[in-house]
Amino acid sequence: MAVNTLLDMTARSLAVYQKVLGVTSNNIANANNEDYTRQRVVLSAEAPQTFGNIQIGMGVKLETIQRMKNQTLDNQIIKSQSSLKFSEKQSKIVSQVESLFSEPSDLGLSNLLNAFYNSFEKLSASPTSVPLRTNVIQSAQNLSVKAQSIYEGLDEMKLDLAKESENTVTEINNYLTQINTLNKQIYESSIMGNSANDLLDKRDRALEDLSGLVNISVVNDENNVANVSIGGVYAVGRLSKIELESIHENGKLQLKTLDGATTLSINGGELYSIYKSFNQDLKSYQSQLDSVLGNLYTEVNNLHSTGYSLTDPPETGINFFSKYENGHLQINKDLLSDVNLIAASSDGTTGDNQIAKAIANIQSKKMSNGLTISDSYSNLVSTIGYEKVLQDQNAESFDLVISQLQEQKSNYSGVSLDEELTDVLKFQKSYNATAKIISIADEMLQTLINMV
Amino acid sequence: MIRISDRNIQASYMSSLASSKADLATIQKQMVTKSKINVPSDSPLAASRIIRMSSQIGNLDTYYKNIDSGVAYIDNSSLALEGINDEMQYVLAEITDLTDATVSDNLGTYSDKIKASLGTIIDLANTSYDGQFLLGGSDVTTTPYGYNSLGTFVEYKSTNLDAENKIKISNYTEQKINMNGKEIFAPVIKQKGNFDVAAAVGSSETTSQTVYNADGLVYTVNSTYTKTAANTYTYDYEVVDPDSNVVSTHSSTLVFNGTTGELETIDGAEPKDYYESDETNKLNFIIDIKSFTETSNSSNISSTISQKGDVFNTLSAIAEKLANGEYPSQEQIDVLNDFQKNLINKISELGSFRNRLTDTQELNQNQSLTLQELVSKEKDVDVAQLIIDLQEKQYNLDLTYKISATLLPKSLLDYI
Repeated sequence: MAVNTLLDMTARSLAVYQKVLGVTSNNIANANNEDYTRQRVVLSAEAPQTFGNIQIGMGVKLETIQRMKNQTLDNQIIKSQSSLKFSEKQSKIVSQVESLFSEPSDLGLSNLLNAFYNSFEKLSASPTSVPLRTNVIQSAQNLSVKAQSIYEGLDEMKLDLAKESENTVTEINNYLTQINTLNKQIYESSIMGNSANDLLDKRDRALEDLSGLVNISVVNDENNVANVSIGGVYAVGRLSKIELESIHENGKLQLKTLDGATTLSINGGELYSIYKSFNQDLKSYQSQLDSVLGNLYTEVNNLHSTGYSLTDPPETGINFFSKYENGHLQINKDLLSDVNLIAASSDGTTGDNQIAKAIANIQSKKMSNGLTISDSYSNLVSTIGYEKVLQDQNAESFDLVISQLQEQKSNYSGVSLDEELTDVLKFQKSYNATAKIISIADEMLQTLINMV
Repeated sequence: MIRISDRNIQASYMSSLASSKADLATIQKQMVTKSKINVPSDSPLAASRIIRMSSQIGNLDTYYKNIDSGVAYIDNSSLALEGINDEMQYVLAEITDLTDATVSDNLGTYSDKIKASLGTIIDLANTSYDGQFLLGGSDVTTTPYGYNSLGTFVEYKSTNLDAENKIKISNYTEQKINMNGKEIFAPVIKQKGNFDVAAAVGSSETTSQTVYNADGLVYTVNSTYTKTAANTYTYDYEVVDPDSNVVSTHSSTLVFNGTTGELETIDGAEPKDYYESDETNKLNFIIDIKSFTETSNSSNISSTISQKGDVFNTLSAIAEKLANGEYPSQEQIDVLNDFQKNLINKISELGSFRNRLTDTQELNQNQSLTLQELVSKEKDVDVAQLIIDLQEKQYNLDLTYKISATLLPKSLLDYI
């Protein structure tokens, strides 16, 4: 082998090791970058030169820079991420609902309901007592105010959720745009034969974030272009993307394409939690509250209207509540201005307490569903509590799954400083050794020159 | 060999740290609120139990107050009845004095004394508490007993003397707390039994009952029940004086419920008592037929009277007689004795009502304490346990910090 050939080979090798050290230093620099996928240099031997029937190796070459990625893990993370974010969001929403009910406490509806029944029970012991009649009105007002605040609180939550759905869909659209742009750049790099590792990292982050908002399915083609579907509808690829909007119609929130032609059926992510809460859960809570308060309204009025007031002459046919609508349990205004119109008597005599007792006894009366009004309410509170527990448990479970997947991902794709530093040492030695060969080649040339 | 990245070590550390801090936050919240259950999701089952038990405690608290109110009602009623009893004892002692021949010239004085006692008895019968007349009936705002406009005859001012004032004293128990006029003052002819549902139309049942007027004269009340149609009867009664003259008649239509057999209406209205108040004949009594039924058994009716005559007008008549220099008849004295005997029974009955209230109140209190203890077990934190838990969690957190402080900064760089 000629000395010049030796110099060429070692010069190339030095360049290779410089690049290798560059990749390693890039890995070290990104050791704490969560989105970064470690890169590994693949080296191979240069094609040998043939001298007669002898082949002599020509040194090392940089074959490729590999991105250490496990696509199966990424797909699992994306899937679990949708479930995790759905459960976390559900838990937050139910937690807000819980706080509206203020249970179990003195300020909860159950306690106020009980106080209402007991106010009639107390009145039954002294039906002509004006302070006890005033107590009945105050108890009813407390009950009415709390019921209304829960119901309106749920309404306000629905308004907030509707607004939040719009923001979430805007965010989804932004991610779709970002993925579309990245797909184009990745494709261009790919067909140019370049690796687009950093772009792929960016796109993976976007996909993971998007999967937290809505459930997606991702298929990568041979050029690493990610084709994303949402709710069975093609959402973004390289050549096209759709734009979505959150529509509020017929009392329901729906995810539709901007032209309104297609409705997307989603089942995961924060957006699904928002839609489920708006379309089903909050309505169900309000409906159960309607049932509780509606039954109270009917039962109390049925009894009260048959009773007689304390006025002279006694009046009958008076309703205790004038209206129940959307959580608003309205007390008869006439009773508010004259507590003697409360009907405690069943026969018009002033000392009779049958109606007051009967109203107090509604507490233990079973309604058509086989439950007392208080039991139905208690069930509603338990349902909300169990829903929160369920979503917390689900979130914890998915979090564990994701942690394990992330751990596996991190073990495969994350940077180990020890490993990188070992590589630095290793390649530095190789670089030094190569440089030494140049020095020797130089000496050899000097020897030859000196011979002339 | 498993490859461990630096990010993995950091994530693992952060996860342990977050978990330790979350545990500490939970303990801190429990310590501040002194409650394990602050929202239903802390334990839905326990929250549901707390709601139910709190509701029961609220009910027991109401029963407690109702019983206090009931006891006060009974105490005031007892006081009034004992006052009437004292006055009756005085009256009967004065009447006994009349057997002494030496007082025959002073009958007018005795008349005055008895009139005064009658006034006291009427006042006590009209005792009110908390704005309610205690010894009337369900009409607690109308003075129940008093003279007519001419001041010649004591009347029942209300036709609702029979009401029972019941209050709820526990989940499944109601207790009567009043004694009404029908039970104490009024002679009540109680007719009861059953009519044979299969009896032919036109068949009839009869009964009769004697009652004293204020002068102690014996009047007879003859009652006839005639079946006029299925479940329907005509009820006729007549009041006959000692000379066999009919002084009063009354007729009404009774309708029984075809299914339950209970008396459904009298003259198309809800069954009520008949109040017979006849100043001319000095009669004042009530007829109660409300408990009649119609069954498939053979007809069987009976009649009783709660006391022989009306105490108010009897006392008034005795005073009148004495003012005229006449002695009361034995029948009049019988009416007074009969009244007092009944009165003592009712005072004793009120005492038993009171005992029942106080016994139940004690039971309720015990039950409330038990429930409060159960709520406390479900809800309240065990501070000692919490402090131990806190120390353990704090130790875990310290350990997490210590380990991370030892491992995180290390790499191969430290050794080359």
